[in-house]
Amino acid sequence: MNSGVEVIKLRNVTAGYKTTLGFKSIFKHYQVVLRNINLSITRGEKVAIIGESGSGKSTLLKVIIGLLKPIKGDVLIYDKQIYKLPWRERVKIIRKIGYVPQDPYKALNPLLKIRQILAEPLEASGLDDKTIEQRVREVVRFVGLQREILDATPDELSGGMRQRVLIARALIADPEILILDEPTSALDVSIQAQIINLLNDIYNKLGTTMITVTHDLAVAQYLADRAIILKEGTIVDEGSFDQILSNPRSEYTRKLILSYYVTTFKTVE
Amino acid sequence: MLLPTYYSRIIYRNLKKTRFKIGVGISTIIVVLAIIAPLIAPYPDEGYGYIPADAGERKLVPPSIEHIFGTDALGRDLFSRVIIGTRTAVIQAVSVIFISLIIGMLIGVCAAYFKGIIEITLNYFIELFMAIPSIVIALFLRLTIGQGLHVVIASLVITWWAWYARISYVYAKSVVELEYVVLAKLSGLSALKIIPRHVIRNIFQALTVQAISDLGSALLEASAINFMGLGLPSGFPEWGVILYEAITERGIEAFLRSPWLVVFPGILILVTTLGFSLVADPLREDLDPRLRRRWKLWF
Repeated sequence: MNSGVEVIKLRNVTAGYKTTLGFKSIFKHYQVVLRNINLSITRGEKVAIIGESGSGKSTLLKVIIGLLKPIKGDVLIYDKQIYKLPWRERVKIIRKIGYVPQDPYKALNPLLKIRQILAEPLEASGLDDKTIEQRVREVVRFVGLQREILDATPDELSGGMRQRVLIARALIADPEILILDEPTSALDVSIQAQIINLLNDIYNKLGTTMITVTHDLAVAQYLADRAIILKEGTIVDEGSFDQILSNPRSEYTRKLILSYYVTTFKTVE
Repeated sequence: MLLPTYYSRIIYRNLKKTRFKIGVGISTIIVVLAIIAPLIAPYPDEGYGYIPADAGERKLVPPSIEHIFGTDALGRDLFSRVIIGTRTAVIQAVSVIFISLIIGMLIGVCAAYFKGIIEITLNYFIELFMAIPSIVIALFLRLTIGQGLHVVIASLVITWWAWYARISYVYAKSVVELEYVVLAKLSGLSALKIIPRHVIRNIFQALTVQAISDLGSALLEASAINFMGLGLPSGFPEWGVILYEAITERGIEAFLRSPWLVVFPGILILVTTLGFSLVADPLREDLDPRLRRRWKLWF
């Protein structure tokens, strides 16, 4: 499904967080998390961004979804430099991205019904209530949930169901890119498998570009064709899984692969 | 859990506690008294400050069947004054808390949501108002715009909103970083939709509990302002004013010769504040289990 059209392009992106608070923050001091990131993702690709905790995966996601302005470098989504656009214009582009956050327990407002949560992304699109309701039902069915959960609140759902709700929420506005932040890390193994199958189903049926951020090489292998390995804020390795597994370019990738085999082997044992 | 369900569950759970039951009982009685005060006051006109024609003969009568709480130095029935004062007490406490809560919540939530220069400026602004004592504001307002209920309420609101703003800011700060707020922002929703739906809704439970527990303090502070003669004019049915009149007219004798002048309004202030606190305490424990007592009294 890879068409060769670049949907996301990062050029020499350096990003980080302000370290001072209060009036002092006017004088910008940054803790740099990402250094000189160059990245290009084409339409229909399945990419995994892999790295350990603190390697800058989540920061990279924030930069891509328009939440963290890089200190320097260009972020192009559909050939538009999103950080040079005002927020309103930026959001119009970002709405083409469906984002599934990391923690299904914190990503759903506990005081809203699932119906309200799912309908939220369509609110700004100006659709009428009937169409929104119809779309909500479609998407709930698509992710394998019962219609009854629409009147439930998040605390009445299990972790797996919540993750499905989050995926449904990301899909409801027909996104062209789906970004998943550790989609399985908060779930137990059997539910992990269900969610991975669901995500692959979504890819096969809708053909959306899919970017998965994970620390788990096994999950990445199931959900992506290409891997980007991140360490201490820089990309240390990049390529198809076959290429990376057979010919790792960095020492870190080699260790990562080794640890993956060790844990898998132990599990099998 | 939806908001009404949350409140009904909290009330149901706390109704098992004796303290809460007593608190609810006292508060209900006070509120009912405030509503029906003119109906049960034997001399409603005197309650509102009217000095009777036979004031000379009736002044400083000790408690009797005719005047349950006795009469004051101007011959007015103290029971009527105190009962009608309940209404002023409730109006003062509720309006101070309600207005402060709304203003404070909006400013605190805006400071947390809009970050950057707005956050810094609003926070300094909040701290500035927290530092000013309400008595000083009351004195200033007394000298500039005179006396009245609005002066008491304004002088308390001017400082109290800042406390609610600070509490709202702290609670909202933890909510705005949560992913459902980020997702709502990415969906292109405006702050006007996100703030009430995601932020205010999630901090409101904690704020209402705080507000209920502050009712007693608001009443005490309002009475203090009136007691110093800075708020309501002499003759107004308010417990602080009644005490003020007793002390200014009688001095120390009010305590020695006619103690009913200070005892009854004093007891009413005490009981009402206690009632509000007894309602609020278990609610606060519910919100923050660390406050829960590990020892048990008779209640």
